Amino acid sequence: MTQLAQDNEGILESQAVWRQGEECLYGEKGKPLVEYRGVTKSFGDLEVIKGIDLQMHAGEKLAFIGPSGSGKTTLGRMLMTLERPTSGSLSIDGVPLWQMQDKKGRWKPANEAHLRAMREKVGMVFQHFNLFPHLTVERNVTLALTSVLGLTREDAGARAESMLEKVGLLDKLSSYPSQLSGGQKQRVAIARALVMRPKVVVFDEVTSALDPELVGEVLAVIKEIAKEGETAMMLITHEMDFAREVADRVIFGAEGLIVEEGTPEDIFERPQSERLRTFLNRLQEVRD
Amino acid sequence: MWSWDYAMEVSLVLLRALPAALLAAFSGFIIAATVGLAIAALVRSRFTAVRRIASGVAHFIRSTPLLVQLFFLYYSLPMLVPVSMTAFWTGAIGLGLHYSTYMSEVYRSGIDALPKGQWEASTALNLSKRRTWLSVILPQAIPPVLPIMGNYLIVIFKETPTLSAITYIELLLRAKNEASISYRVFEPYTIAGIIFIVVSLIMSFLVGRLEKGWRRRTSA
Ligand SMILES: Nc1ncnc2c1ncn2[C@@H]1O[C@H](COP(=O)(O)OP(=O)(O)OP(=O)(O)O)[C@@H](O)[C@H]1O
Ligand SMILES: [Mg+2]
Repeated sequence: MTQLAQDNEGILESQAVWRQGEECLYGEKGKPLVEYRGVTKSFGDLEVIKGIDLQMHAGEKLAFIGPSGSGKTTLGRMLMTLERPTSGSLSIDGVPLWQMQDKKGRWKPANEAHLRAMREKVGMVFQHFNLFPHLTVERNVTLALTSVLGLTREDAGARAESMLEKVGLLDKLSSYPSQLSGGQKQRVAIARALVMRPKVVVFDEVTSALDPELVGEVLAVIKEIAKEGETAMMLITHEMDFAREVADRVIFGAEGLIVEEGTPEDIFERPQSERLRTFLNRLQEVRD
Repeated sequence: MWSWDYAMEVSLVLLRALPAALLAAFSGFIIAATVGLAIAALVRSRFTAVRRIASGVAHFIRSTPLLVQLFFLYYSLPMLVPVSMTAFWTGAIGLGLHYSTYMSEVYRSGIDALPKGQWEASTALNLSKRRTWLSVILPQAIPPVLPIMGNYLIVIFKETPTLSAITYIELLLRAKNEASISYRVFEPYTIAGIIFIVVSLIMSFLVGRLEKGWRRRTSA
């Protein structure tokens, strides 16, 4: 065996040991895709996230429910790098998002270059769509493909078209956002986020700005994409039926803490805490 | 007191100085628009030091008189550094720098009017800062403020007589020279004033056209 091959052998062996170690640490599912560890967030004196530990695995669909003001949006925005945690650590694929090591191995706050590298793995769909109103539907979807991923206009166009076909808007390629209904706008926004093929997408109450009759078409699109399975989804939502149907796991948070988590059945059929029972009952009352 | 013959004669002389005045105004405007944009971007830098310096410099330029700045650029600066600029370039740069601080405020109003969501969507798509400015922010922020920018072109044009103080031959200096030759003080200054009014009116008509064109395009 050559020296190089021996070295390689050694490296492979130590990686295997490392992986075993990780399995002990993280259980059979292996290393989480996203991990919040003791994350807190304050706005001035107001502490809105009070210490969150949470793991998401590749492809996992996680629904996040809870009363208004409980910090759901803030949690998702920290993952999208729109908000910096006050303390704790948040990592993607085992790499801290908000910290980085300098040449001497010391930890320091992440700089823009580090954040840009990490952001490739994350996407977000916003409550108010946030489409670019001066660009056509097609350009909304291709802008980041050409300027961030460096695709040619043709390749980007092809990829955008197949994505827009999935959300049922192929005929709107050359329309402007102002010419679309709310539901259509949100479907474009979903296409725009997913076309980048992120590993995890934050959906922040993507139907709550829509007229009731338009909610269904957007949820249907998300369900369809969820079935494909590759992308992990953090679904922040008030649509309980939707959460129950799509999510692998549901998390109920209140006042900046996770109160209860489990399968949709656990959460909706067998709520353990008084807070969750009250929350679900109140939703039920509103509906009836 | 007023001679129509002389008025006609002096009109032709003054009109020949108009291109020089317009050239200084347009050059100053282009410099102001460019530097103003740079200031508007710098005061939004993520580096505190850059923000402080940019807004400090802008504040300093805005709170000193244009005339003082022109004298400094034309007479004092060559003593400090071995550059000497012509009266035209000194005037264009002086006007440009002075009005860049106002222009940056115009850009700022356009940029501030955009919803926060436009920046956030750009971040979520991982666009670079440069790409965000060029493809998302400026194409939306600039069109609505074009009319205000156009008005600053008119303001800058009306400020060109200040350049007479650094020997730049524009309308006022030409009128003054004429008056000193003919010893007639009514016609040259009156005609100069009329030329300013007419050119300003034409400019504001064109700015109005621009605005209407833009409105039509965005409402379509
Ligand atoms: N930028 C900010 N500055 C100050 N306070 C903020 C900011 N963003 C959020 N908050 C506060 O943090 C708390 C949590 O907000 P967040 O939007 O995360 O809640 P949420 O669970 O998403 O609520 P909702 O269901 O109404 O969307 C709220 O009290 C909110 O007012
Ligand atoms: Mg929210």
